[in-house]
Amino acid sequence: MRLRAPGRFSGRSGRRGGVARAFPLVALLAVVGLVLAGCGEASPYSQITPRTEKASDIQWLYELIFWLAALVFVGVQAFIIYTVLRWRRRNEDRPEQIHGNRRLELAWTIIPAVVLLAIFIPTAQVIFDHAAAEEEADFVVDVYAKQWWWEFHYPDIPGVNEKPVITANEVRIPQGADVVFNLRSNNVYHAFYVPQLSGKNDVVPGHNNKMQFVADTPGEYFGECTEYCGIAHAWMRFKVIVEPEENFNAWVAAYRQPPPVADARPETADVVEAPASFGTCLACHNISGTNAVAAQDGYQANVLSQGAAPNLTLLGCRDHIGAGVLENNRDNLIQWLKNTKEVKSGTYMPNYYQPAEQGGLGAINDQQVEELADYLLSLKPAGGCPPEQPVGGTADVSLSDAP
Amino acid sequence: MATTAIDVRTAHGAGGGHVEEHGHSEHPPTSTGMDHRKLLMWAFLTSDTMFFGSLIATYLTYRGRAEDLGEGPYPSEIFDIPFTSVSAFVLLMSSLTMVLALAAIQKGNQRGLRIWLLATALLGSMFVGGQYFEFTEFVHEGLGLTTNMFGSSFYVLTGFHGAHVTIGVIWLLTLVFVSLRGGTTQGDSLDVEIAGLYWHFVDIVWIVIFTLVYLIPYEEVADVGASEAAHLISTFGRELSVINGLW
Amino acid sequence: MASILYPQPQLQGGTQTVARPRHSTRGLWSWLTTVDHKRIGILYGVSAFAFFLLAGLEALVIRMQLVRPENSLVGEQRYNELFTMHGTTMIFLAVMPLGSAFFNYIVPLQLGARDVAFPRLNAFSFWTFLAGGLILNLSWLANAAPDQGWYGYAPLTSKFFSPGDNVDYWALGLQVLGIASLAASFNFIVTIFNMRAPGMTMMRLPIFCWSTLIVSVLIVMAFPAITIALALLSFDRFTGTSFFAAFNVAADGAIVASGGDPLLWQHLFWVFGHPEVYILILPAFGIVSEIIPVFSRKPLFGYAVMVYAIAAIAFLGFGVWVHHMFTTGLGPTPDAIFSGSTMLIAIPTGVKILNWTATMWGGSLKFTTAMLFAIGLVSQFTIGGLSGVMHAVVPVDTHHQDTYFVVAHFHYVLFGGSIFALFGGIYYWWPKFTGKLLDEGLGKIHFWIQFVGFNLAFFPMHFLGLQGMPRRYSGYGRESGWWLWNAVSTAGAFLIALGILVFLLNVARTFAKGERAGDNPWDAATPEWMTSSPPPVYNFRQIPTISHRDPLWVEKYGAEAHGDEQELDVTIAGVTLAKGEVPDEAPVEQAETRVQADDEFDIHLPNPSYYPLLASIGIGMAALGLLVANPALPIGAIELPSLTLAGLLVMVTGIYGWSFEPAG
Repeated sequence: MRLRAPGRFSGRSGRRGGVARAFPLVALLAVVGLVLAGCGEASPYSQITPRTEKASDIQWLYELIFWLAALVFVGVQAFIIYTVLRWRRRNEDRPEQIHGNRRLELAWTIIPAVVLLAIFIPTAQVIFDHAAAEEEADFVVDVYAKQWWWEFHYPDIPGVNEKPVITANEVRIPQGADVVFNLRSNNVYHAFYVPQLSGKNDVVPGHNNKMQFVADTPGEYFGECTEYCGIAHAWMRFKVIVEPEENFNAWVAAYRQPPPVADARPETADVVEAPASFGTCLACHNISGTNAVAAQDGYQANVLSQGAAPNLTLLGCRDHIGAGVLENNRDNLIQWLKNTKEVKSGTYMPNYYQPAEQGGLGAINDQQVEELADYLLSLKPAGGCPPEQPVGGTADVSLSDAP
Repeated sequence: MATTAIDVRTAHGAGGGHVEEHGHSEHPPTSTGMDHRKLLMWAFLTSDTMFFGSLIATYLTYRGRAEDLGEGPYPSEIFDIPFTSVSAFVLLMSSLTMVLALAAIQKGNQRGLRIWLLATALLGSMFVGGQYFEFTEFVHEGLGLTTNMFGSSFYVLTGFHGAHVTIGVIWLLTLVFVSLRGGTTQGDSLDVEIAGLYWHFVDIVWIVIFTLVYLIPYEEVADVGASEAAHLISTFGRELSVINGLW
Repeated sequence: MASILYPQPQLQGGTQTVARPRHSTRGLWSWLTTVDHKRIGILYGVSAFAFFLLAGLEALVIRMQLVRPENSLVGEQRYNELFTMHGTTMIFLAVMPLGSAFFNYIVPLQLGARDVAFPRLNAFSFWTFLAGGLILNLSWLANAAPDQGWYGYAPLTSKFFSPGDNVDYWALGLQVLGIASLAASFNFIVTIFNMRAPGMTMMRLPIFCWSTLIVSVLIVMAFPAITIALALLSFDRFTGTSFFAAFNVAADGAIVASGGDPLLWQHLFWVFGHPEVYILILPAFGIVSEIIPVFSRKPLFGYAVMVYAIAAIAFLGFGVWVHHMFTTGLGPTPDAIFSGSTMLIAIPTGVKILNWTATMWGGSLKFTTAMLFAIGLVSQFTIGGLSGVMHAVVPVDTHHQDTYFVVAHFHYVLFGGSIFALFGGIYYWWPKFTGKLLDEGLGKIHFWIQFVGFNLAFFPMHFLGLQGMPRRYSGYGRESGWWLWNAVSTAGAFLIALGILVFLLNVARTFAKGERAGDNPWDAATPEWMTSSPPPVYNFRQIPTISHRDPLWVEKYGAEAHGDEQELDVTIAGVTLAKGEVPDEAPVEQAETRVQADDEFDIHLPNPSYYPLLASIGIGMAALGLLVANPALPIGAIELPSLTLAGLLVMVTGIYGWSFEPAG
């Protein structure tokens, strides 16, 4: 059974210009005989619509190598096609027996070498520039890749209970921050990839790789795991939300507050209690400002997510649940709680709803599921969620074209 | 032509011995003049170099990890250099007896062949016995296969070499057996020569392992840099040296 | 001591009448015990093609799953098994052994030899290959098909993250296949160095033999790395070491640092894996280098440079493995170094493309199906080569890595390259194998359907890559915008399948009523066409003497018309391979002797033997014993499954029987 609500962004056509710009390749490939109408259907994962300086550097290199390759491609294919047409067999005479031409062969050894050198120099330059930039970045985010979701820590921003601000699957960055992500995994390989912001980096167990960029352009950027990491590899998406600094600060402030509560629920001095139906969830999911504080996080967290599941603070402001598998709304939350493993194969979260004979734990009933969904959606700042940012950032932000 | 003479001079004249017997030398029996089986052995040894290279690279990557994590026993605590030196010397001597075995059969000396082959096999067995003793000692001192990365990579590397020596001993004994049953002719010296190639190779590999595993202390390897860099360099360096050596 | 050596004909004055082969050449038993390189070649070809069809079907299911967003044709687990087995099967069970089929059938004929250097080792290679292929695919029946990707990155392959048998089927299957590949490569290295006809210097070697030789050297040097890697992985899985795991994970999911490093797996795997790419493509280059001159009626342009280019590609192929690891965070210096070395490979590859075109330039081109496939490679491989250079640009590669851009790239190289050339080789050498010509009309239909289908299937993957679609995704949402090009690609895949069906139809038709080919239907130049088609079991009545690179053309059209071949001496390790006193025996008389029909002679050939088969069965049993449930027996300190133990005994019996078997 496949249960998947239509994605929230299905209606958005996004940006057309960037994708279309890189597709002259298609025109060269007349042999393919494709009708090109609609080929530029945009994607929020597009590699060729850069929204940071770093991504623009890479785009510049890509365009350089693309046009050189296109030139070579056209030249070689023309050479082949002309040869084939010109020298087709017209009679049974034997052509002149030429065994080679040293000078010619030397020429087409040396010329490509020169061209490659011309590519290599800027390549090396960008490699070293980007490596140096990692050292200078000052806004730190620690990323812990799990099977199959992402945990984000802001080590320099205190949260609650002497822990930093911790969130999951959607990471917020103040506009203009020179951000570096520390990429860590204690389980298998993953790769951290937000195409519009930077190239990808692998998350290597036992290593600490870094990804740096300056978040210039406000927007919501789609990220994805690009190193095969097991059964739910395709459903390990995330978002980087770049927003004005005041919005970010408001979000952090709200993070430290207890969630607004309905009157019926008991409240102590600075901690509210989650509803009773949330009881079993407490062991694995934290919500700051409540009594849900038991879960582990970070590097030493349990590999099977036992006692170490996504932090749900301010969940009501997230766009999706299950690392991109469903849009975040009441119906989908209910669906997730009732059919956890069907919605996302392989997920380690037990199904608390289905009876034991169906593989669940049978701990909560329909009414409790609905209560939980309502509660989870209520986890948002008292003043409402920060304003939405445009998906893919705004296209008209000017970024320099050359490194 | 009712009975056509077929020219079989070229393609399949493989065994060096036969050609000499028939006194035909104007056409070499093989295109390169080297016997098929000997060339095969060289190709195999090329491959085997890469096998050992991969294992040695693994060992060099991991030998220091025990210290890094503070999980003993460490190489420095456990190696008994004098003992291993003696067994390395035993293996070196076996190369000498292998040479003598080949020299004997090339002179047609059956008895000499058997004596020296047996001596080689005996020395090889002593080496394997020494390794068995060494492994047992290490296990007693607390270094098991899974105790730490040093243990894992050490046992797999030296065990792989020990397996080579064991196979060599079986091969040598087979040669003795064949010699006893049918008598090995002078022309069959190639069989001994090929076994010798293998034996000397295994011997040389031990010299490399002995140096890298036992003699060079960990600190010197660590000086190369972070473990990552050391790893890359050791892998890459092995690659280059092997390629340069063989091409 | 009796040896595993090829049996000796008795030499007497250089010529002699020798014993008639007595063994049967018909029936199943004759195939099981055959040591004839031609029959082994056919066995390789048929089984590899069957695996090719299987892997193709797997690809169709993959494409069906991706045809639209949120599709649920197959579940995630099955999808992961499918892409793993598609890759593994295509690489190890289809493209490599299809190359081996040509090595086996064609190389001894091109050398002017009567068989390979070690015919029984050759049979052993085939049966071991088949055992490995069957073990891998038995996993489907056990519902434990490998699901960790063909490259099996640790620690996903560890016992903790992959507790089933899936990884073990894969690891043991590959180990068995590795034995087969290594044995075959030793054999071909010796054969090509040692069994050349008189006068055939290394620089007169048909270029396909050169590519075979260099591929064999690559296998010999690259396979040990993966063999060791797989062995260490098996240690991790079965004994609890952590060679490739940074953490030991307890059953409840708690972790403790182990000191191991998953990057070591990547290094070992790609030290093998990148040369493996050239193991897959160089035979294709060899085939194309044979086809283009024949249908251009011109000798290969720049033979010597073509040889050096293959060697250079192979050599550089060992120095670029890190370009598979640009995103693993090795640091800027290694990234820059390996970026440079990767770009270097483009130079010899470009030389080959241009030299092939220059071979056609000024020629008299005949567009047979074989020629179309060869030109198809020259044209399509260029696309894969150019996107390959893009991946050498590290920052750009950080985008392309693990997206469909890379999938497009290597399908242009492996399908547009290897598969096209292998089909070209099939059409070209089919008359040599069977004595009949494949139908040219159907052949051209096959080519054009496959050509269009191929570009339709794989060119859109470039766009998908640019749209950021990662590899190995079992599904995607509507918001991704990946629907259109996935749908187009799926249509292309089915068109390819249609092309393959046309090919199968062609084969069936040819068996039923194919046109008789004659000995040399293409007016080809190389020695395999000096004997009848199909060749007699002994290949040549008289071993040819070779005085030129294109001996049949010199024979037919005269040395004068053939022109100067630009001899170059080659010395490797002090052995001069290219020079030699070349007897210039009158070629015309030679030809007469060669073609005379005469049943009154015998040529001594090696007896068939079942020992190679026995040894392979033993290896297969030993591997299977570790995979299926069977009682374990204690041997000293360790326990071995009884089936494994029995397999090892069978293997040793086979090897000893083989060693002591009377030589002929």
